[in-house]
Amino acid sequence: MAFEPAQRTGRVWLPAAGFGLFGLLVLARLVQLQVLDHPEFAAKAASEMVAADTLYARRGAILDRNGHPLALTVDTWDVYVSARAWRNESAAVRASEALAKAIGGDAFTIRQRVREHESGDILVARDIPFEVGRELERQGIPGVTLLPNIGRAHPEGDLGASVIGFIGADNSGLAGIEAALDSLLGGTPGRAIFERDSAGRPIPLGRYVARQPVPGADVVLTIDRRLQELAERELRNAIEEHRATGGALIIMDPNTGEILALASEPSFRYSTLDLSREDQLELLRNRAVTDLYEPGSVMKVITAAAALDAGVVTPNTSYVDTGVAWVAGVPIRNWDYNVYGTQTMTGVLQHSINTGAIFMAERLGAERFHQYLDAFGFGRRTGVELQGETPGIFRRPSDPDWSPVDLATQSFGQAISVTPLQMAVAFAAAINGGRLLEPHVVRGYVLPDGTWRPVEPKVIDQAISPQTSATLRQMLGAVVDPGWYHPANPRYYTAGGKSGTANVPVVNGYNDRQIASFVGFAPLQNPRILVMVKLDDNADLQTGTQAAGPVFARVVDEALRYLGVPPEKEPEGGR
Amino acid sequence: MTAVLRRSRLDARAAFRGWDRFDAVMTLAALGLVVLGLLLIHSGSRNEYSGPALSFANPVVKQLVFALVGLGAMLVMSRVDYHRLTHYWWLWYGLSLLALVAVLIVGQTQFGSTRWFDIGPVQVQPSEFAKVAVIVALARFFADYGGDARDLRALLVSLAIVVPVALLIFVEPDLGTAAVTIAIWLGVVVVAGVNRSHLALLAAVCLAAAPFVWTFAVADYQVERVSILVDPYRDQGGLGAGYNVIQAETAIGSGGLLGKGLGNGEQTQLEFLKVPTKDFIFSVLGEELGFAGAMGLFALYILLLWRGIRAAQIAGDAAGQLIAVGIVVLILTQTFINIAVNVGLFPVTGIPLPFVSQGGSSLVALFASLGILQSIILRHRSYRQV
Repeated sequence: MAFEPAQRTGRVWLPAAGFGLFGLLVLARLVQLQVLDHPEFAAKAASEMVAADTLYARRGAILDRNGHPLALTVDTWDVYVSARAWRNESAAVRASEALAKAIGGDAFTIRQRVREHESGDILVARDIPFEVGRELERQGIPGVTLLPNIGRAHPEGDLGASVIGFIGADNSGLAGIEAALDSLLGGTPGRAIFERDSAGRPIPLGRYVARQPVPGADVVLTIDRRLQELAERELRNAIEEHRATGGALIIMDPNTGEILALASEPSFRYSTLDLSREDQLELLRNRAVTDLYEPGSVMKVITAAAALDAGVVTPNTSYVDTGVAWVAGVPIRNWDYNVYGTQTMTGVLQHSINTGAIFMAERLGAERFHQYLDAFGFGRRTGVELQGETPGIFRRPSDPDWSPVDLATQSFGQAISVTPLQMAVAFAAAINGGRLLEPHVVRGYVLPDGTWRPVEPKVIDQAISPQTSATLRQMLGAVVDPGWYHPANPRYYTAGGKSGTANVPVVNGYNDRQIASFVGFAPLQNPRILVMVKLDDNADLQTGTQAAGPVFARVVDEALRYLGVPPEKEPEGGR
Repeated sequence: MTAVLRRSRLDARAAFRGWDRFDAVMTLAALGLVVLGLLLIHSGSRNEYSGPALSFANPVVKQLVFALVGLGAMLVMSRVDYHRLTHYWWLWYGLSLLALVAVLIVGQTQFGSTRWFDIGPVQVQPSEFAKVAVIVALARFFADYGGDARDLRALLVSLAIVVPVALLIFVEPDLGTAAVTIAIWLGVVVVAGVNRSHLALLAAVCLAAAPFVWTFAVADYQVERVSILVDPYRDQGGLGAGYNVIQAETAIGSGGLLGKGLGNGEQTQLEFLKVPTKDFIFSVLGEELGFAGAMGLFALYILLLWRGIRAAQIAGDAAGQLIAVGIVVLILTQTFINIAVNVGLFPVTGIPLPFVSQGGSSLVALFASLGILQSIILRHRSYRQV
């Protein structure tokens, strides 16, 4: 064999030189990564490794004005099942049956739920009671994991649900006070840092608390649970009796603006709350602050207050009612088509004469009348703590389609939209010495450290003079106690008030649906409570006096007795 | 009786002839790499493997067994005159082509490419052996041709030897190994004295063809890998396309000068790095042993490079020289590509780190190649004396 001798050439080093060049490149890159940019990458590796977990702060309680709990935070458990652990059919059957026995529900349904997933932990029950969870933990059912959660307990049941609201699955408030004061109640969540692997699983012992959670404040409502119960009961009964579709009943302290009870129907109940149902969403808002209505004759109180305060009339100013008032060529008649003849202003309120209200408003003039409407807070939000408040609306002389007819109808509560709470607050201003107050459902807060932060009463405006207010009280007292039987006259206490029966406006007019209401106060000389009763769409078509009046009377009697106000009069026979 | 004895003594002497020239430094360098690899495989497989330490299922044990098999193969190959290899070049070359075609038809598909035969518990990757067959075939061709690549025709024929193999590997698809095959050819023809103008001509042709190749022959995922290289953070979130590159860079970068210590790399141990015992084993090294560890690794490869070039220098004939060059290029191109992928200088492609990455075929083929180098070293004097 003859072999070709190798070429003795330096060329063999050429590949080596090439590799040397490549090597230098890689070396430079390594220096860049491991020396120059090392701190940056080290930080990045560390950040990839850690994750933060939220530590829920304990949510504050909601208490009634006397400290009775209405909504409390309780420790609960969420139950998860590992899909992997339940792959084996017989094991799954055994485990699911044990689980169903402990938490209730159907074992088959639970199995189905878990089987929909290949792997991972599947939530099968939320917020199970603490003790049940502990029992489950003791049993140690295969594949079942419990994670602590918090739930809301309502010791008074459904009481005050429309005010209190509720919290969602993420423990934040979704309605009522729970939503309105969510950040205060919820506190500040803490942060736990844990180290994790690339799949996000926490590494044991790699956990520490970076920031302790700050528990939420307790909220003390102005609501009195007994009065709330009374209000809800009376409203429910009235709705049933008069076949109404809903309504509102507000009990309020006219001197401070504190709302002692606020019932609103329809509303959700904790016992039947089901957020998955579309139609239940309708129930979540508190209609006493969100829904507008035309107040009707109750508005005559405001008209009278304005006219008296401006000095254009006195309680004894008289005029002649002919049953009809012609305004800009439009005839406006009394609600009952009655003709009352010569009447004083007190009589106008007693008989609820539309032409009398028009008489007062026209003496005032549109400009001054609207100044008073502003002073009484119409067209503005009251500033109550509840969510979704509507400001209300009415037509002003500056509006393009303003007509003198509007002034006339507004004087007896048409062509003006208000919320029930707004009407109550304005009425309170008319009889409490003229002070327009900011209404409250919150009396104060108990901060996590125990400090008490009261919510101070706030006077927004002096709507009328105290003298006018006193005069008006007397006139309204004469409405409730005209010297003959009146349905709204309480048995044990003196009172003043005014009814309203308003048609429900529809496009281009009114239909035959109506809203019957009565707003009043008691005792007459030194008002302790103001009560607003409103019934929507009562199918029996009784007037405000007939339908809402007796409710007012009963509420006054019970509430004042509960508040320890000594009875002022002997009951005269049966009603 | 005495005659028989003398003959057997002669045989024994013949069997050990040249052992004093056996390149122990080269072998030790390779063994050093294997030991380093075993440590890193142990560290990188702790999450995956939790069975008994002494089991063939343990990646460390498996790698050790393959290393021993490889060492055996090396000893055998060093005893074999490499001229026998070049003599039967057509056999190796033909078998390689056959195996590469077969693997496309009946091979195992893993991570989207078909590179392996499953033989019992062992996976065999024919491209590992095909590369060596190409080296042998090229060496034989140029030796026959006067050890000269100056002639354009010779250059084109040599290209014709390489291209079918490279293409078959490319369509597996295994861009990295195909590139290694081309690099081998380049190294061999450079040493065989290729004309610079010829190379320039070929480069020009390749450049002209590049747009067509890019459009018709390069898969979308390959385009994506190149664009990831330019900006790995482009595809953010979860396991974006740049995930592996980012994690590898993070691992290496966070390792710093001295590393976090073997088994302490969070990126490795918490499975941020995928395939940490194979393609991304260098990232494990970079994280756990740091810049210092990488320098140690480089030193071992430089030693290997130096001894390999030395073998090429002292080779008794052109065939030996070219085989030696081919093997050096084979080992070091793989090394370069693998590390370049890990540090984000080369698009992601599945190339094992020679002697270090977990993988039996690669290890045995590499040791067998070292055996061929030894065979060349052992025989250099005798042939010069002729």
